[in-house]
Amino acid sequence: MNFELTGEQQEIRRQVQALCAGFAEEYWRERDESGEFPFEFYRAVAEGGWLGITIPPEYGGSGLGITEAALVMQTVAESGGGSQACSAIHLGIFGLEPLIKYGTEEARSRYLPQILAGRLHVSFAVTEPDAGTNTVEIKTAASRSGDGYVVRGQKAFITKARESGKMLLLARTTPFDQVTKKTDGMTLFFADIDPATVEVRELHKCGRKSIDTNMLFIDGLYVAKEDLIGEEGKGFRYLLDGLNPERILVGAEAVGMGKRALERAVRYAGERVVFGRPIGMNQGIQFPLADAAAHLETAELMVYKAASLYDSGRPCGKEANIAKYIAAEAAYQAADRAVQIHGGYGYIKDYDVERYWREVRLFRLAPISQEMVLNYIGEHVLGLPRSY
Amino acid sequence: MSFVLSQEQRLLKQTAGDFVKSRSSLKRIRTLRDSADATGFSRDIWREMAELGWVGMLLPEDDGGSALGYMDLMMVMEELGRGLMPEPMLSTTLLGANAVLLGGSEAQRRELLPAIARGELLVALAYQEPSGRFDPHTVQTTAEPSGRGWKLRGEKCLVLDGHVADRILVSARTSGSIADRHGVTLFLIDPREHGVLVNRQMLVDSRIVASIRLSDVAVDESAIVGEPENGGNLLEAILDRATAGLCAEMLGAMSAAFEMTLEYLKTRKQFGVAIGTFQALKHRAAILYTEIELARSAVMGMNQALDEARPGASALVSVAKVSCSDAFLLAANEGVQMHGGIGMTDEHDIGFFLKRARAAEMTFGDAAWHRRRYAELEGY
Repeated sequence: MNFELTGEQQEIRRQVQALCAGFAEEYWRERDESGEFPFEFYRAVAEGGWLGITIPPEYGGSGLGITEAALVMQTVAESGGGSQACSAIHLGIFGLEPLIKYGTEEARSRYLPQILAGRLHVSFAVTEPDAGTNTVEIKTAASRSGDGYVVRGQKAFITKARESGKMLLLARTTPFDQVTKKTDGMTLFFADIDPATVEVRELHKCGRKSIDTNMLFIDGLYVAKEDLIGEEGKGFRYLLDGLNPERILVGAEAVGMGKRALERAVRYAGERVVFGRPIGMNQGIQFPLADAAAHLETAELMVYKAASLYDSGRPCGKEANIAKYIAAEAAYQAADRAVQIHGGYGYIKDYDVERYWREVRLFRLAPISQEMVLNYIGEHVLGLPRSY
Repeated sequence: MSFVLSQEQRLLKQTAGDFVKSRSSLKRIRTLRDSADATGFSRDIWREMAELGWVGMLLPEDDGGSALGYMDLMMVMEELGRGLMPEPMLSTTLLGANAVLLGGSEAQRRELLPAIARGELLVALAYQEPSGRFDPHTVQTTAEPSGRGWKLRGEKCLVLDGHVADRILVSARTSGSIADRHGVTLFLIDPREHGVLVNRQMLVDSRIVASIRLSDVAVDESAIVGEPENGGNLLEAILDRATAGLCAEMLGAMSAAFEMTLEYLKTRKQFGVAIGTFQALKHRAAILYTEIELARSAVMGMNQALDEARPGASALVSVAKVSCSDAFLLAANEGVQMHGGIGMTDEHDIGFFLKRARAAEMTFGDAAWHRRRYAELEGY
């Protein structure tokens, strides 16, 4: 058991910290105000080569693991960029696995370099209005047409569809009632987000304003056969591989944001003087912060335990789910306390903590709700009967 | 809705408080436990309580009672709760007397209620079964017609004061299947009857209950209390009222535990100051106080609804039980925690409150069960 970062990992952290130093709180405050996508940050990350951190070297990436990717995301979050910064690059950092693992050689060599260079953004289009975590009930359907497919349906909570030219799109090629296994009959495409047939309607959110979240109304989108990923009908299986890494990365992002919030709270508690002494001298202030620190440190350990299991090719469902769960709670508590400890100023945008608090709330809902994580632990870790 | 006590209620509370102080102490409660007292309470104190009019408090004057309501009863139960008094108010006054009052025939009322009010007759209600947890409708005990009467067969558990009861009300299934609301009938039996086996058990808080095995116990038609087949509804009405009494008792007990803890915070010194100086304790004490006040409002609201026979009273009973269960457990847990090492010793009294909190929580439905019941009653 080794809890130390390697020299290379420490170097990654240093370099990402240096990159993020160019994007101060002010930058993120402005994005949060205007809703403008953080292109400058995105370009800097792409130019630094970070987008391809987990992508194999033959396609221009660094071929590193989820541990390193988690480290990048935590460092980005901790810089104050929060989930605006993380979500801008999240999919590039890891979400392309299905394309890398199951896409054709032609697609890989055509698209990956563009993505790594920051010229092509990609969205992940799986969730639907009537099928949240219950993916097998998606209604979006792709039917054969000539050499390709025509897609109709709706997608919900699709991040960055405004910027993206492509999406990893899951659609049913065999209707739910005609498959023997519920998870069969769904196909994954690397489809265009074609404005003629895909209407992108933005959803207004509580936080993370500069990273758009959208409804997609897909009506007659044509997908060429070349853009099929893997085999028809097996798309769901390709997505499963990505669930644990996603939870690990989200856990790392949450830990980073929680640590940033805590750092700001600690700083303020040391500076702000009431009744002739810094408020951090009050147990009512100090204990909640100490408690937040204890939970964040624990969550961090779980995140990297899950990441190292994944990187060594071992099962990590239990650890990845617990990491996401604990990290989301710890980060939310830290941010909430940061707001509380700032008093009235905690509610003022110039102090940033309210932005963290609005953003970090999302992690208790996405990419999977805390309740569904408990279902997973109850059923798959503890062996209790399925409850839903 | 008024949350102010009347002159009479204040007087009643004062009398009850003085009575508990002069007749009982936590030392007495400890002795009852340590001596493994067969009865588990004092019959002398019970007789005095009857003389003060508390045992028959809820009964009409014609039945030998004082015709008072639940808000009045709260004054007494709260004070009894402060002293952790184990005298059989829950079993006899709240479950037994209410069963006869709400469901009994004229003859049953004449025979039983005045004797109950005089403190001469103890009555228990055997409604829980090993398979049913808190649900009064889960009844596997059967009553089959036999000659001119009935034969009862089955097993009942956690019967409060079942070890000393002179009469036991038993719920039995006369039709339908195991958890049907319909098809349950209440029977009044004498535990000395042939086929009744009463097994005394001590609970974690040293109160005594009984498990009761009924092996073809023969009773005649006159043993039925309330409308045959409709005992389920009668049970719900009885349990609502008994829960109201229990909540008031819990409120008193949690208040006493809190006051004991608060006193300790003010007197115990560490690092040269009273430990109540530390915000980590002071703030938690403030939270406890607000939780207890919230429970008090819930109990008062419930009692008024019961006294006015409002349609939503059952839902308020569940609100009060949830509130009291959570707050009492919190007050008792925090009480032990804030007392530190001494709180963990048996010599200190605070532990008695923790044990009572745990047992009272599990009586007439715990907090989770009442949350679910509230949701069902409100159509969630």
